[in-house]
Amino acid sequence: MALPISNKKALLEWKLYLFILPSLLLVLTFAYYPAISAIYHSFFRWSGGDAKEFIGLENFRMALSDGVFWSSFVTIGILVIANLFKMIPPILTAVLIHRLKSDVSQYWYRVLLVLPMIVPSLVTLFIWKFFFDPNFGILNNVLNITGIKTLLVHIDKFFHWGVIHEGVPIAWLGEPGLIIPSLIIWGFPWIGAVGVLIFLAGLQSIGTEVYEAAELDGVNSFQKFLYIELPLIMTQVRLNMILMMIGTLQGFGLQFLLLGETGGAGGRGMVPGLWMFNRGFIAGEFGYACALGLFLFVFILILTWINNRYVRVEK
Amino acid sequence: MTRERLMNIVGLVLLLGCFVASLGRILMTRFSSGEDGKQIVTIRIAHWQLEGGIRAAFDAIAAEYMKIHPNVRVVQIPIPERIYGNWAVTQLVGGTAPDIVAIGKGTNDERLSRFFEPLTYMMEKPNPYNVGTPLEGVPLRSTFFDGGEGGYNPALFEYFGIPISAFTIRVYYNADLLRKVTGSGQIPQTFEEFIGVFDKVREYNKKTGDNLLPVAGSKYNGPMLMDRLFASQTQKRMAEIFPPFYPNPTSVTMLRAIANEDFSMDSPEVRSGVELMLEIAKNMQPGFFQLLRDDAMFYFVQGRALAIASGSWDSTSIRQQAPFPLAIGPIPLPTQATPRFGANVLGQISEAGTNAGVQLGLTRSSKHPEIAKDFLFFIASEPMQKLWTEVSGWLPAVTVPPSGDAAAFTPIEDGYLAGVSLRHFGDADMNRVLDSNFYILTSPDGGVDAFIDVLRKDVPDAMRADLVRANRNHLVNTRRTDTLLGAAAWLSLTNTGDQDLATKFDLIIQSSSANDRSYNQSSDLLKKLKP
Repeated sequence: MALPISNKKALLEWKLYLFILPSLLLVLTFAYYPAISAIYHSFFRWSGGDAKEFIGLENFRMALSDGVFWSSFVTIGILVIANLFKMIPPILTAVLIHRLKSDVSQYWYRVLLVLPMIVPSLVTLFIWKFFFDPNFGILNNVLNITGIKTLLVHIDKFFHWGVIHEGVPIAWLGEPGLIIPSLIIWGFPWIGAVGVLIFLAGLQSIGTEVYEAAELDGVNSFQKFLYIELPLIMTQVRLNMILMMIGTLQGFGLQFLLLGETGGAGGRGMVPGLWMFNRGFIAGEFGYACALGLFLFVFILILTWINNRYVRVEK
Repeated sequence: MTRERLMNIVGLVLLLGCFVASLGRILMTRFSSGEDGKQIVTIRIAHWQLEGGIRAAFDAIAAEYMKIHPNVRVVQIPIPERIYGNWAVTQLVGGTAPDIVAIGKGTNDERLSRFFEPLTYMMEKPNPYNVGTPLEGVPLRSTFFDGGEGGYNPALFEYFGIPISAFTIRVYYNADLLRKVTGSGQIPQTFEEFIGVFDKVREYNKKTGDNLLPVAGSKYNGPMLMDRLFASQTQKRMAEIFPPFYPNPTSVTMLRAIANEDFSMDSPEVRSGVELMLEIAKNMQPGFFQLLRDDAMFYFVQGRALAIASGSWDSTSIRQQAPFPLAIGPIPLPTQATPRFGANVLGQISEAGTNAGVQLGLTRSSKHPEIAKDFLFFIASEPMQKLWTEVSGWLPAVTVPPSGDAAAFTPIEDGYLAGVSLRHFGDADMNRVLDSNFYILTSPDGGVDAFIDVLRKDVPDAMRADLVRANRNHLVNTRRTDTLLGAAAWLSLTNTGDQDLATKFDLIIQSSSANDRSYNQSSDLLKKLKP
């Protein structure tokens, strides 16, 4: 940690501040200027060019009565909850790697985890899109070969879902009732490399004396996880949770690539970010899209605050 | 010297070497000179036509131009279609746009007037590169088969694009499979034959155990077929509502028809159109609306589908990728004699109204506008249009008969005016309603009635939202012409003897009045249709 210096000394060494000037300028230009510009344009009827008309709070009023926008929060809510559960596999994987006795094995598992990061995320998305192909996709083929499809048809009939039919390939991205499950299935088994590495870093900072003491007390493997490892990586869990929430709420790349700009069949995959994109780039209502963005910003801010306030980390 | 220090020096030398090489390349490009010692000028063309053969065609024409203009280098910048609009806007706003930019994506009226040079005066001049051809001395506008209409912007009273191609929609068949399935290999000529071929595919599948698809569909290709078929069902009604020749259908036209209760989602034409859409959709793969253009193409070129509907722009790509011979034909539409779908049709749709496409615009930020204009003349000349067709397989924009592979796409002139498809009823919101709810039509639990119920419920609001937006943009464009009108009025008053000016003034007044009329009509309709 940097040592505190007096204000007088800080002013005397003003030249040192020039070093942070380039970074500051870049942050102001590329992070703050667009954000301020979005706030400014949200008060205008603006289609992206230089002609705009000041309309006060009209865009915000429209957003409040925009059914598609608010229903998109239901979809995103489900995805956030699903993503919370999707944090479990990376934690378990990190614990398993951490508990490997051999350092060499640990190293190779880490390498194996990092390697897929080389593949651009766009490619991964397209591969998944192909998995979901109703006729030639791997998912439907596996379900057919294993006979799970027949089971699913019976379950569908029992619950009257009406989404999986006998003799018809499952349209994972073409049937509204299957869109959210497909978005959740995406990325299975949900072992994200970044998440695992963050948790692993947390686990490696746990001293060996803690494990030794636990072993003397006769603690079993599961208890070790529950009473030692999990509480001690809660800082990382909280960090991942915040990043996940912001990423899920802001993101729309997955929905856009898998379902298109209308959110797929029945608009069931519509999320706030995608609706913002749709209004801006498809309908040409950039001013309104900026207003939607501000609503989203406030929503993320509130969630982040709740996260910081209520997800406690035991020091 | 330590190993670490040595590696640092090697790294630094490599970095500096790369920097110097890059700098040298840029300086050489910028200050290089031709054989006569004059500096070489670079003209850049941006477009989104990444289909097979197009980049080669641009290169071939550029090479011809550079042969006769050794001090000019023509460079093309192909940008993927998906991001072209955003890319173009960024370049235009940033003042870094290439000299010539293909217009149509990211270039609305406002941007056209702000960032592009009007090319009307070019259209009036004969193309100097047509000397010695049958088009010698003909004004550029009249050398295009559509009279240059595709490049004219009625809201801005100017031509902004020089077209270089044209497109039609066709059905591509896998000729080998067509022979196996039908025995004859004949392309279906009538609607009944068209549907009959698909039935034969199902019989063929039963016999052989294959899983051959009749038509490869996707969110991109499916509507090409279904919209054209739906439009056939509205031909007669459109001719009744807007006699004797109805205009190009727009959302305003259709909203007017709905407001006057001439047309509704309960009209028998809509029902038969939707039934026809379903008839075709049944022959595409289940859930095809979740698939993209590339997915459908993949099905077809892999020999998993007998046919695919697409534009002439895909012909070269398909030829390059398909390991089988192609048979290409128009979409066979129902005729009045067709038992189930003949009641509402007039007949095969004429493509005589096809406009020339791939409009190339000249940006105001071009550093060499005169050379860029000269190149535009060159690319639109008869010899270069022939070369364009030969290399790309795409249709030419000028009045030369298409040859080779492009001949199959020649617009069919005989026939009747097209009707309207559901997409003609609006814009962004209408498309959203259609795309989001299409699954209802093909779902085992849905069908025609369920789909029409949704249309009845959602279409009026979507149309209204689209019209409000269109009206707003229209108003902005109309206001923009106020200055022009004022100037023209002033000049016509002060130069009373100038006949040309008086004519131009009349034209501007007429166009502006048409704009005003259209705006007022739309506003009245919106009042009438207030929710």
